[in-house]
Amino acid sequence: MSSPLALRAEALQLRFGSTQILRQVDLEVRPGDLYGLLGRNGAGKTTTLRALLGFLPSFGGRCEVFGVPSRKLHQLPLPIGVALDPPGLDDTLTVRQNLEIARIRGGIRGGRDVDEVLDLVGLVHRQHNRGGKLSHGQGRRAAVARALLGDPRLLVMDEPLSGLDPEGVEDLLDLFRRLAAEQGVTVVLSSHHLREVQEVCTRVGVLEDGRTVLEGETTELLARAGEGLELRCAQVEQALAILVAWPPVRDAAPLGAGRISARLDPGADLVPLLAKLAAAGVGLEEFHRKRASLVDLFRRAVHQGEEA
Amino acid sequence: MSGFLRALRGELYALFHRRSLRIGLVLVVLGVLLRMMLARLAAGVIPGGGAEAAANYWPRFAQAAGFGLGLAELATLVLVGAALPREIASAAVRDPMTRGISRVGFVLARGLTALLCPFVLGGAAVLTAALGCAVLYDGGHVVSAPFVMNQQPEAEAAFHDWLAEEGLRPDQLAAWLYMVEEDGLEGAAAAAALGLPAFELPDDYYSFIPILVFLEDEVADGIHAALAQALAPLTALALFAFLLSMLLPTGALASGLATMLVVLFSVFLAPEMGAGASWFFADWLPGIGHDSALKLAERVAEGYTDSVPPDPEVLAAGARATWIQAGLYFAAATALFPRKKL
Repeated sequence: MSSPLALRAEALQLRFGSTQILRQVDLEVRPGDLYGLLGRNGAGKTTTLRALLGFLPSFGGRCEVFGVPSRKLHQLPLPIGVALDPPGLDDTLTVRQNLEIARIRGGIRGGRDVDEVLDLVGLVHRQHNRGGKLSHGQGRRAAVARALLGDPRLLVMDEPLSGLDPEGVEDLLDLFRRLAAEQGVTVVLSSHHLREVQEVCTRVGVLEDGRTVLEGETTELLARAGEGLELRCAQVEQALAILVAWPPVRDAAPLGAGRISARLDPGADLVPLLAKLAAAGVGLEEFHRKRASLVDLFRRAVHQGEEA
Repeated sequence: MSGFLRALRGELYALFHRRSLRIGLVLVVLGVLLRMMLARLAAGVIPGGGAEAAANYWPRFAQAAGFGLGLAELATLVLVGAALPREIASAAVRDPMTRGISRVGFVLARGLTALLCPFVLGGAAVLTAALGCAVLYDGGHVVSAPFVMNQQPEAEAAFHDWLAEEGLRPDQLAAWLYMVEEDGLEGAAAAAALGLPAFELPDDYYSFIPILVFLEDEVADGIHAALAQALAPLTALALFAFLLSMLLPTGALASGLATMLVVLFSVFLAPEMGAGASWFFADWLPGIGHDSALKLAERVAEGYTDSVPPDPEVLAAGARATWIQAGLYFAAATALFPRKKL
């Protein structure tokens, strides 16, 4: 029998009052994945994570953590670490006390202790500050520290990089990478730092307007995306029509501010395209070939989601 | 260790490490001390008198403890009412749910911890009142001043000198006289029964002996019984605030509404409702309840003979109703929490 998925959302739907927050979220996170959950503000990332972790009492569809329904998460036999947004620190207790209380609640004896996680996230010097006195980034670090306590087999992080300085981002990503590679810890992180996610995440999912619009292995998605082309001009609609009609272009989408992104067949010759654009009177301000990145994938997926 | 026990340990850790409980404790203790000082200044008495109610330990203790318990009740409404909405808003409440603790386990642990609040604060109030009054006042029987036809200051001074020589207090003499005159005991036997040294009372001094109103043991038993009766309403109070904290979105709203409901009931509704008020737990709160047993015990200790104790059946019914309410509040809170979005 195959081991259950670390996280699974199937046809997840959720409505708050008259607002449909999640329409159709399908996610699969396998054990050992370093999974990046992406989406614009309001796409439903945090709500999806809240539903997956059983923080929302009612929703449509199915949510499981290691095969256990999220509504019964307390029955999960494996320790997990969670750092959602907001960080969820008790403002009346110090950072150290927040970690101590989490250790007590989790019955944590082995694994990383309070001192170790404080050191890992660089908060030793702030350990006696109350939760309410921390900066945004320090609050994030404290939440991550709490999630790392003990020996969690699954880490769920909601925008853990938000508010961190560049060094902090590097350190944290390096930590996640090591945990996944060396200890087989499953890490799920939602983020707007697409370049960093591309660098570390083995698998990504993109949400748009409460729907999953893209999910898969990062390397596979990037390979499938092929090469790209990005241009900027004043006549967007005209340029878009030429691009779509030109056979080597697989698809093209406007990015806003006069910019267009297109996917190309590998090795496509761009000279005929330049000639066509010039003949049509399209004044190019920028025109360059590029390898597809997660940013491109994200933009396309979001654009397609918008159209859907 | 079960999720509930881990949750309970966590809640206890948080309760005793948060500043809010410590601030509450300081405020209650300071409040009690201030109340005792004001009572001292108002009475303008010196310690060791014992003959007047104003200088007697028991009424002053009941008064200070009642005041402190009132502060503890208000602090409980604020602290318990505000805690959970604040933790839900900051998302701090999510952490226990990710550590193998069920929502029911968490709410049971939180509810039990909430119960500690009135008892820790109330216990501090009673202890402060007991220690403070022990320093400031002597205990004694409750007496009223004797009716003296002709004022004889010299003779009265001689009477007090004699009391000092014999190591007696006026209230002890009042109890002795009561046993001699009303119970028909011999003087020596009455003195022995009261644990007093043997003495011969000169006839001239009889007119200066105060009149016994209540024996010290009766008063002390009444106060202790009143404190014991506070168990049920204080429990219900904490769980009432806990339930409101579950129902309302912000801590300010929950603690504000809880305080307003309890105070409005005690000040305005209960006096008009008469016996009907006794069905609601707030009527029996020792500090701010309209039918507080402690207030009644204080009046008895003050020497008010018109203080009528409540009908035991009403008292028992009120206690039953209070326990039932406490149980309902707890059950409702336990049922509501699993339905909350966190």
